Amino acid sequence: MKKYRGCPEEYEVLKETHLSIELFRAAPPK
Amino acid sequence: MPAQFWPRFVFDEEWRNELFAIYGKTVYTEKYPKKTVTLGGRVFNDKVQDSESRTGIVPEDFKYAFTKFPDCPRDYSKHSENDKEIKLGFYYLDLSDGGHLTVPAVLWDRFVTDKKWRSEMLLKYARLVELDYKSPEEIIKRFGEKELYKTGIIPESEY
Repeated sequence: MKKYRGCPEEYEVLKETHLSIELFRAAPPK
Repeated sequence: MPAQFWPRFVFDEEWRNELFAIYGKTVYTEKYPKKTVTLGGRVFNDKVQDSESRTGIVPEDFKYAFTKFPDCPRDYSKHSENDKEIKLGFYYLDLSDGGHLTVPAVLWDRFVTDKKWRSEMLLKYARLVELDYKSPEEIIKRFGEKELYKTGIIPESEY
């Protein structure tokens, strides 16, 4: 179960621990 | 990003964009490969300036992470804040060096939500950075006399 809820739609959670969250944001389409 | 910043990251879009602009590290994947553009025989990389050399890590002591005054408008940067006031810097679009504007804490909510009023306050009170080092004559010649008398502080009476 995800610890961190409500992730903004432009971001994707790659990894999460109780201390930190690793995120990825795709470049906007050109 | 440290876990304690998550709630603000979720609800404060401007702060989220600021974090990304300062610490976001560009990487390339199969889905999002590095692109090049050729113009007039010269090849340009499609990259965001300096973004590959950033750390990609938000430090735990990131300034103002737990501010009582969130949602700083995109065109402003926060220089300092305390319980009474928030000091901001910004850039004009007229090639001046920008300006200072101090917002009393009691006016912060209106400042971030009422764009029209914010623009009025900017025109009425914002103080040019040039006033710190240019002569009054130079200021008058370039920007007009009324800029000399702007305090850089929105009074609480504007509430």
